Amino acid sequence: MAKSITLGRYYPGESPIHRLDPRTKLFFLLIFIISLFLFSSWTGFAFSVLALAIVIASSRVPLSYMVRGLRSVVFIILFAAVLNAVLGKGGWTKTLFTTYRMIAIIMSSNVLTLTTRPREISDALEKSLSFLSVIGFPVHEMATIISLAFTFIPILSEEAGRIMDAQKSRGARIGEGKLKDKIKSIMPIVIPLFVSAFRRADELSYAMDSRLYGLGERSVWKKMRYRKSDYLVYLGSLLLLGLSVVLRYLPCP
Amino acid sequence: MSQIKLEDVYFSYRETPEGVLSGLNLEIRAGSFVTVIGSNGSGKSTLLKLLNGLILPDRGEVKIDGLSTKDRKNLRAIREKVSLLFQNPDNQIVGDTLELDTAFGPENLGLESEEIGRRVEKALDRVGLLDKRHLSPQALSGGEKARLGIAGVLALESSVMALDEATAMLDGDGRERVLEILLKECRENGRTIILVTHHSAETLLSDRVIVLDKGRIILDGTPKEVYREAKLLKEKGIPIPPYAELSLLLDKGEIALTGDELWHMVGGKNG
Repeated sequence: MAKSITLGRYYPGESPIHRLDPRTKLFFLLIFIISLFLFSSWTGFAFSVLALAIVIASSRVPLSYMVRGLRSVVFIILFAAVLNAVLGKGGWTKTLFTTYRMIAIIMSSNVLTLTTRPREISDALEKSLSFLSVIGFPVHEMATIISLAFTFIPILSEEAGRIMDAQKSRGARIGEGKLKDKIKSIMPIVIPLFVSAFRRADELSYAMDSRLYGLGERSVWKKMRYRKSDYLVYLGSLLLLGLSVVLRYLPCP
Repeated sequence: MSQIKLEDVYFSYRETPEGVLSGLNLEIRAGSFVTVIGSNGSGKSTLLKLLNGLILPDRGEVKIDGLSTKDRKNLRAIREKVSLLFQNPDNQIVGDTLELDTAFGPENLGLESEEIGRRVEKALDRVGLLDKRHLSPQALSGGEKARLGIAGVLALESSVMALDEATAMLDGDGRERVLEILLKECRENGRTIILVTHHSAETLLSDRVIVLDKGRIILDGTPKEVYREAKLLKEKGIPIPPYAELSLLLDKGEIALTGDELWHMVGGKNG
């Protein structure tokens, strides 16, 4: 189970995507997701698939590793696809586009988290959303929470695995039987996991407090800096957005 | 003057209204190596949390270099002076890499980038993890994670290091390595070390052993003085060093703490 969760896991590397400024990657992700909802033709679909393929290839993260992240949500995707096919009005084309959109959102978000350390993502969010602090929004606190959540995803998924093993060794039948039994069998995992998470959170807050968190102005050791490649990606993102808008309103197959 | 002073301190948690600490008086001098022992629930961890103002006493006062933890204005200065390390290193990791985790404290101090870099390098070097600075903390062994925790504390360059069972989850080698670092910090760099431990052998390295029982200090002195009361410690369920245990079994009216002392006790001659 722990291995199938790739969100929040950093995949060390030196690829062009790894080297980009995290703010650039966040901006591209935002534009890419917007573009996903703009296309409605096969031409637009082809451009979107191409853009995603270029990003995945440039990240140099093995495709198998990235696809592994989809395993945990495959049922949700299939369920939504079936629902769309049965109840939707757009036919198979629309079902395919909707399913692709879901997969592309997960894959592109995965590229961000696999090539960017959680701390870099939180720093980028903090910097990009700093204008919200004018209206009293706790930007720094939110960014810290996100960073810590990412840090704790692998720790808690490993903990869930340990709890599951412990319960199985005491005869628990997890994930067996009918849907009702399956749901019931999850409870002995979820409750200890929550207890453990709260205990960890408690100790973490003490540790952060004793390392002077929140007591005065904070400085950042490694400051973010844009490079030439970042400006190129910004330009590429804007082109992608422009192309998506044009393709949406231009009659094409 | 004492660096740390606890004056008639009382403390209780909501779930234990009978009180975790009851009228504790304690003074610790700068540069000393102090170990705190006691059975579970004796108030050891609570004592450490009181030292840097993570919790405040219900009654009485905790003073660090004359600054009371009760005054919120002193909190930053107190936490700069007293750094705290907890038992489970996994629950204290905040950075994605060793160097970023170590930099967390100095960043909170608002230091310049060059100074943060200097402190991070120095701290990781002292605990022998400098070559792994770019790795994720999750790639480390238990012993290395404990050392990373110490690096985070060292980077704060505080004068007091308080450690709550920081060696509890380590094997023999890991414990030895951590103790070596702590001893060096105390003897060579003049830091005050306060180590809460369940390992009686660790207390033998300290200048002073404080024994807590039900929120009160029942023994306080050098290891030799404290383990003279080995019978009392055994009654309270507090582990004693192996040679002290053997001395009790031999019932010679003396307590040995080392192999040599035991040898002399049983009438062995040098050479």
